[in-house]
Amino acid sequence: MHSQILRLWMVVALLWMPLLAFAAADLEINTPAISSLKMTMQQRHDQLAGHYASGAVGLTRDGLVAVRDAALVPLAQRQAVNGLVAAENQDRQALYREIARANGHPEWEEEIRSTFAQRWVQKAAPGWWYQNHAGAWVRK
Amino acid sequence: MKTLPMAKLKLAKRDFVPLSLWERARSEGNGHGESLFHYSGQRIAMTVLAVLLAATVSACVTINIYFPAAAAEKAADKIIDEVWQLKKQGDAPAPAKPDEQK
Repeated sequence: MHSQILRLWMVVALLWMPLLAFAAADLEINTPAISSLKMTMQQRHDQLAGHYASGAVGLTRDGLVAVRDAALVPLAQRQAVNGLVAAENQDRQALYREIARANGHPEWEEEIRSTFAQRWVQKAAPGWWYQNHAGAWVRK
Repeated sequence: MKTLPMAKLKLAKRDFVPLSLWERARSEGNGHGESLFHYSGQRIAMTVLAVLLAATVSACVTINIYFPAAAAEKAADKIIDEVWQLKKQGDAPAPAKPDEQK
């Protein structure tokens, strides 16, 4: 009798193991919302890349982008750059929020943002500008 | 706010009820001259199992609640590579142009 109960407990305990493995798996990033955000960001990147390289636009420490030195952009283009930066930041915020939501943890948004902040900088090309932890602009 | 310590004290006193039960059971036994605790070996085994199960379940919950940093980094890398087109077509990264001419 008791050994039966014991066996039952052990089976129940073992049944949890696949859940452990599942919990440690990859994050879900293949939702329609995330895919469309990636697409628009990819298209926008063609226009932003030159501004990253010139130093006009830099990567912020909170996973966004910002106009670092507007003087590096010809006057006629400044408005357009501001628009690009605003649109990019909107997409980035939405991306972080969507990843958190797609994985059932909206509260992860800030941690996802800070993970991205580090990875954007890590993958930036030499010469691009980013903000260090203190918020100061640094050239990579 | 001032009555809070009193309330706590009362709650603490009530918390000792199981202990008094324990003591009574120990002194009186089950009425047949045997202590209620002659099953203690099995009880301990069951308690250990219950604790193990609780630990396993809480481990699952813990993993789900804590942020999976490594998985997030992997996901971020994948998305950044796509957005900045760093690894997609061919192996030439996008921001590399100078020696293309010659």
